[in-house]
Amino acid sequence: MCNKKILIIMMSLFSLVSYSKNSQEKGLEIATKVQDANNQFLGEINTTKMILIDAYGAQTVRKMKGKILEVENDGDKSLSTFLEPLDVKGTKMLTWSHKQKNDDQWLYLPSLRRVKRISSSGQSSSFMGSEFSFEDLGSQEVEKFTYNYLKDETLGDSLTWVLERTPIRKSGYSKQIVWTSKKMLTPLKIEYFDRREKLLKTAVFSDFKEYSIKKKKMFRANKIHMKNIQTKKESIFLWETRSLGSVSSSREFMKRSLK
Amino acid sequence: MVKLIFIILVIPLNGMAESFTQGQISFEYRRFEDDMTSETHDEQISVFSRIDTKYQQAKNKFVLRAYARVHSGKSGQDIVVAEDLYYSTEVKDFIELGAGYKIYNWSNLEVFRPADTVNSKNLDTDIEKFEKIGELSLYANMFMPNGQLSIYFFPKSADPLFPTKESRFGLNIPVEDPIWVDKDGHTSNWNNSGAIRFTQSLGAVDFQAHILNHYDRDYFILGLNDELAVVPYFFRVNESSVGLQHSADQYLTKFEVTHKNYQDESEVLSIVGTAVKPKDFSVAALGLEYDQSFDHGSTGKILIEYQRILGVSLYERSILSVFQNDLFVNYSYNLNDTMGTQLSLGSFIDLERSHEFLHIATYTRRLSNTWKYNINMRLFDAPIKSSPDGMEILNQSDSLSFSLDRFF
Repeated sequence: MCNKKILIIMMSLFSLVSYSKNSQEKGLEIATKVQDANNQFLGEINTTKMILIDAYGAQTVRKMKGKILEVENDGDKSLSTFLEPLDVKGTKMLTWSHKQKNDDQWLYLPSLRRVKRISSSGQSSSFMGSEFSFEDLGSQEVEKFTYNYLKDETLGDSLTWVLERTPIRKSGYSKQIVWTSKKMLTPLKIEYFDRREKLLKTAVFSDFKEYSIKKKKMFRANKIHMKNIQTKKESIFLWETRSLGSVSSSREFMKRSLK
Repeated sequence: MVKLIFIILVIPLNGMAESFTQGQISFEYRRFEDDMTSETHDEQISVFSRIDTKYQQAKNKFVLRAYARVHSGKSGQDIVVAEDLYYSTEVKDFIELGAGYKIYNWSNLEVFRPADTVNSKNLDTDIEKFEKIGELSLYANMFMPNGQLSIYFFPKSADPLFPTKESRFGLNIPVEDPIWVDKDGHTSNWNNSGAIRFTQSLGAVDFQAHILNHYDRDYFILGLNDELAVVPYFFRVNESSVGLQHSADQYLTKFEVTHKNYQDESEVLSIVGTAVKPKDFSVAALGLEYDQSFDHGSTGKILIEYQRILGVSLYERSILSVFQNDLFVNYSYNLNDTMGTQLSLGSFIDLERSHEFLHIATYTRRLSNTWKYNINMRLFDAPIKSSPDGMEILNQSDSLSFSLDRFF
């Protein structure tokens, strides 16, 4: 009798471990599939607008323009130029994201005529006073997270995989729950949990547009609506223009190009 | 010369739709502690304006950046300064050639910047952040993967701007035209100066080195000329400098050292009537930045920098600089809100001379998309012990200032 109980417990534990392993493997498999579907975009040139909405509904607008260069076997390189508010007009941020190590980041400060290296630890801080943090808008390489497949779910009209992803490196979040469209292979919704594992923010992706890069089709959301559940503030990130597949010269992503 | 280049650049820029222009106009008010001297102005009201415009077409670039400050009722202190006014072009993708007036930033440190010596400074401003004056330059940059080799020729050394007799930033002494001293007997700031600089980034490490031959306008002797008028003596110097910067997680560490080897060590008559001459020395600085991120997106930064002058006696160090063996500690908090609210508290601490401090507090906040204000308080705590020395000279220069900035 006793042996039978032990056997049942062991089998239960084994099945739990096995389930956990399977869900992790499936999670990673889906994340890799999504990344592969969105790779080979070559580069991007865009102009963007951010609408910041406070808890009382008052709105403020930020404007930027940016370039992204896809890098094989490593994270992307990106260059953002701030256009509004006017006191930071001309400020540029160059990011070389990496899969296995901390990103390299430089800031060009026009008031000082100076390029300054910044530590990449501030990933959890607010981006231009918005509800987006730097890590929300940075490149989301598969290697930066561990994954766990949770379930299949219908979100609106879309069939989705629901994954839990946990940051490997230092992050402002304990975990994120991602709803990924099975059809478009791109996120539709992300829930961000703070370091105390309480729901902090929800991002809803919309205004999808299909792009064709060298006969490969991929989707991009041209609107992200981020709601902070704790502060009741909101931010809407809008792509006003977006040219996917535009290849900028690698020289434009060097420190010297910031000046 | 400045006017000529200005005309050449500005006329075509007016018709160029692709030029990027930004600027600001600021109303500045500052109130100093009363120094019981009627000759100086304890209240300073000024209007500051800056224009920054750039036009880039293919491999050609025009840059114009200049500022002006007009003081209420004090025309002697009004200034117009060209910072950048140059043209550059790229040849064969990896070489850039340029000519014109330029600002150089050769230091990675924030406050103590031993390698940052090319440009003359406007000395009629706060002691820890003198504004720079563009240096007339011809240059060639050779680009390498994550690095750059640059060669510079500086045909003319710009004069620093000295505080007027009425200014609270100076010694209340009128300063006449400078005397330029080198071993060949030159007496003009038209000269043949030059530099070679190398920078390289390797992952999280940035390395830089330069050798520079020019007139030293950071460390000079304030002396008397033949008519016994007060003049600055600028000596020709060979400078060699190396610097390293390393980024790891929340930390950014920096090191920089510059050695100065004066070509002519002639004696001149100092302001107090003794014979003095320049002596070779080195300046070393260390820096540490530590970034913090808080819940709800706000950030903090701890900045610690230390500078020391090496190779000369304690007395000689005290003559060379106010910051001869000093520590700077600063904490800045950025709320990261829509109005960009920032508070910064910092202190300079002299580690060699007792009881010498400068405390600085700054608060900035946006009023709108185009307006911003800044409140700054500066407290010198350096009572005079015997003869005024170092920061003691500025002991009664506490001030409170307010600026309202309109950006366009």
